[in-house]
Amino acid sequence: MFGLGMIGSAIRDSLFDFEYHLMAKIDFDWQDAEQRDRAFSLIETSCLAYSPPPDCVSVVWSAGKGGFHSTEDELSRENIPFMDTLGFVSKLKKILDSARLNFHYISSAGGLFEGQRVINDQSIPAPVRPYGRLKLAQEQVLRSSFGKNEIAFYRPSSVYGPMVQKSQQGLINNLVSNGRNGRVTVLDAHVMALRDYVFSGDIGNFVDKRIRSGTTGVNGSPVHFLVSARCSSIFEVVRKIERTLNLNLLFRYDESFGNHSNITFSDSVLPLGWSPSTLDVGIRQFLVGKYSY
Amino acid sequence: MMQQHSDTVTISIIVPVYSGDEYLAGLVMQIERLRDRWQNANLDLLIGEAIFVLDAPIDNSREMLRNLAVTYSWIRVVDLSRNFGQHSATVAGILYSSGDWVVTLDEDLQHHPMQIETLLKRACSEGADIVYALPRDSVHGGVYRDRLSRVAKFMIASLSGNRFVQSFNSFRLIRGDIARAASSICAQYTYFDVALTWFTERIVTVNLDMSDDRYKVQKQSGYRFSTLVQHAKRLILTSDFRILRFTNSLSILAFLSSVIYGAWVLYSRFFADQIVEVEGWTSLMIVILAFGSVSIFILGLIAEFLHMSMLQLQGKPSFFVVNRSSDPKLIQEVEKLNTAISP
Repeated sequence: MFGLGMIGSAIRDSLFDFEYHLMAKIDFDWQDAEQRDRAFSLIETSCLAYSPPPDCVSVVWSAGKGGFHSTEDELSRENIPFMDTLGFVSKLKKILDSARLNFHYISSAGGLFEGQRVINDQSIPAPVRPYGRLKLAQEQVLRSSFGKNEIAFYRPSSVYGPMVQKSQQGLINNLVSNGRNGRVTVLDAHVMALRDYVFSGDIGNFVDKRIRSGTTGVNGSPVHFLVSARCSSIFEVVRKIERTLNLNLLFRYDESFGNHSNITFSDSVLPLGWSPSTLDVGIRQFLVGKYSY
Repeated sequence: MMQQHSDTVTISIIVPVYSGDEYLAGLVMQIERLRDRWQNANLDLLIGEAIFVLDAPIDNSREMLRNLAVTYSWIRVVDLSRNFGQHSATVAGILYSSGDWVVTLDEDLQHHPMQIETLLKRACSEGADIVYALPRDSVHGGVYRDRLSRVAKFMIASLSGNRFVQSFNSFRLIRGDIARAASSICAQYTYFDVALTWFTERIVTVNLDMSDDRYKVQKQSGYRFSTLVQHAKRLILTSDFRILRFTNSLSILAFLSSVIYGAWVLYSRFFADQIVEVEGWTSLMIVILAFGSVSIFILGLIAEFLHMSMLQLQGKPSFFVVNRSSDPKLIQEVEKLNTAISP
């Protein structure tokens, strides 16, 4: 697994629930290519030393430092470690000749389809920001490097869930965190801008099922839209969090980001076996019980 | 499915479904015709989705809609877990919508989708956020039933103090942001149309030909008397509830009157020539007036407090920001409708 942010951690936690365990945690340096090579060597050695030899190796790419507001420069620097990893995985595939190798790539539905409404399985990705263009380019590189049955593209919408240090936090996480600490949240979109929100735990469960099944596609499609297909305005989200936490959220608008366009999905994109939690349930799930922080 | 450009004005249609399997195919055909009509005229106006909310239907509506959704990609079916009623189903459908404008209509073709154009034209000409369609003539073919409905609405409007009550109808065009905001705050007993008036006063009506053929043929309505009473109760409780304010004013009046009357009784007892013959009458009156007036005054305060709490609980906003930036585009497209397309 590359990347233990909000989504990566959810996948890891879900795998741990099914008796997977951590063999090693290796630092991955975004700047230092030599350090990355050392990390790749370690992974390769571990795979070769595994006895009996694995019949299936799943690689999950849930890494990334950039977000919607990242510049072209920042993202092109971020693409270098990805390409290095891709090279390493291709090499590993050759070395582990008899083993099946699956690549699970976490993409971004919002990045690819920003500004489109009622996105369905016929909709064409048309990214408008560097972040979306990078995700689309990486998807294309992966398509050319792997067979259709070896690759899975997960396209989640706006993700919320248990906080992870140093990782990107979405709107809901920021609202919850700031609300609890009495801080003001800066909203970068109009209060009625529509977004689709998904709970990281649901994503973790879905990707985990794919990894455990040893397959990447569902009904022959390698692309999985991990969205709720039930859009919510920021206004609605704020009210739901206020009710759940029983407090008044403080926020102010900064419209300079221009993040106003609506992004909504048709339920025709929902993959088989994907059952997203509703917003009320998702917020409660990560505020109480198993996902509390 | 048509690609939605970011500047295309989109419309979402919401239809709560309970027992409409006879009418649904016809309704879908009419919506498709309207979509085609706009597409053929190259309008940047699109019915992006029609959301059918299954409110635990009692007939074959579920299967019928599932089949229709296979043919028409713009159909979305939302299946409620149990029967929640037409209002809740409408609210649920709106919360699934993403159109710039939302149209709500009944399942039984009482409201013809083609009339959406008239609603849009009215919204443009009046700069309105909500357009209610009102029946030009008797909807149910029964003078008694329609008059009763009008009288009930008049009484509720007087009691609640909400001047828009008489405009309320389930065939409405609502600005998407306002529809979704009002739906977001709707609690179980909030009357959706009243919640809409908390967000806008730009509400207009348009008279249209409507006919409840189902009622005329079957002589059966989806509403029983008890349902209508529940409806009215919700409407009054959600409204500003003028009667509570009246109680409060009445309590202040009663308090002041009792103080004045008490002073007069005391004056009569000690200073006036007129002597109160019954021993203890003055003190008894003073006690009754003092306690009575204080009790009424406190009750009035409690009523006012309850009223404020109710509104807060129901989520009445202190302010709301609306984005009307797509209006010029809508006006432009509606003008094209007027000139380019013959009805």
